[in-house]
Amino acid sequence: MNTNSNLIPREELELLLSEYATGMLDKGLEVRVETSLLEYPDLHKEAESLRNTLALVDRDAYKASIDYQVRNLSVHVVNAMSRPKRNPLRHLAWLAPTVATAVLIVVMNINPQTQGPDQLTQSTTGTQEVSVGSPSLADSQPATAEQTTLTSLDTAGNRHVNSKVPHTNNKRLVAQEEAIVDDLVVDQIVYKMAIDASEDANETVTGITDSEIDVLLAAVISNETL
Amino acid sequence: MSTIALSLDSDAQILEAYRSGATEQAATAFVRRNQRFVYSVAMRQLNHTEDARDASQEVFMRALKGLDGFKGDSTLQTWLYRITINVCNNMRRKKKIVSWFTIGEGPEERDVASQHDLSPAETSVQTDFERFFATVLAKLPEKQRETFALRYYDELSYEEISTLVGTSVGALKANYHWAIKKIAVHLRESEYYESWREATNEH
Repeated sequence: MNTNSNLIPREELELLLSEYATGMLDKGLEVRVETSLLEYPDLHKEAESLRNTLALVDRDAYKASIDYQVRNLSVHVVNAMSRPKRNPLRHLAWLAPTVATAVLIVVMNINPQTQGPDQLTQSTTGTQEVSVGSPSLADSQPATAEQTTLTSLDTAGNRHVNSKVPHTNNKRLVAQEEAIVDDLVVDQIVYKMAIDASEDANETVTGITDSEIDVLLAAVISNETL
Repeated sequence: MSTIALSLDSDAQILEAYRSGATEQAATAFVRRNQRFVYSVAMRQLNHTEDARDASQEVFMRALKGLDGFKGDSTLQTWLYRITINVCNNMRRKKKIVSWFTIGEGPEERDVASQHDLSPAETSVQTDFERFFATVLAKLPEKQRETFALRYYDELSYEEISTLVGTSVGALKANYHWAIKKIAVHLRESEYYESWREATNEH
């Protein structure tokens, strides 16, 4: 019945044992392996042992377990596809305050003159303010035919309008700017002296001492009593 | 629309439906058709149920974004397998980086492939034998484990596995052979084998 051509050589049969034991062979090859195993009792015994042992591994139970794990996956995928795309850099948001602080420090180090209580600002129709510390106001801001108002802030934080200058060309604007800066410096020196004088316990702003006031008061009182 | 939904039982039909604008139906059919395969590959790669689920979702989202431009140079399954491996590798890398910046974690928590993490609900669903068998598979070399899983669980032919993993058919047959032999040794040494034999002898 069985011809030699149908028999599988031993070496090949050994490799097919695992396939046979796990039921992975197609029907035709399975029959050939069973026939061939009859020629090799040791291999036949090993094949039966493997088959009995691997019967423990339930393929259907494994598939059921996987199906349980992936339940509703298609719903999640379709929902996720319809959601709007999130910003891919969102996880770097925590860096924003650090970067902003670093940039601020760098800017302050490059241009320390921008810091201080006194600032000269330029506002064009109330929308622009440029500090005196800029390398050149004329260079950084293109001149317009509109009137420019130059203001300053004193130590009390009050804004003073210094002058109104039409700037039709850059040279004229620079000259006006320099003159106003000089005026501001003088104003600020006078203001500071006044404050210093007020802090002196024996001297008023007008320069009259306390003892002189006492004498004047005494004279007034004596005149009233007379 | 209903005719499209009913006839989406092959890759070609899914592709055609997707390209014709029935994206939602095609996406659902595509995921359902391949979810078991993608999840099991991801689970073997990551050994973590939550991560495997997240990876599977990411794989399908990537695949669906590129599905319109899929040229068909390989099968959809081969294409999905490559995407899954890439997504899992990226996920492992990210986890490693994050774990280095996490204070108070031990080395066992850093190694994502060393644990088989399950929620209490999932633990109750999985039997003792399934947990034991997972540890047996984890002891196998990666190539043998992957070949066994693709052949035994996913029921792919050696030619298909060869296309997926890029190994010759002969080498895959040898991998499967040795994987089965090692699994059998572990099973025979286990308590489950004895109790199973006793139960079968009684019958």
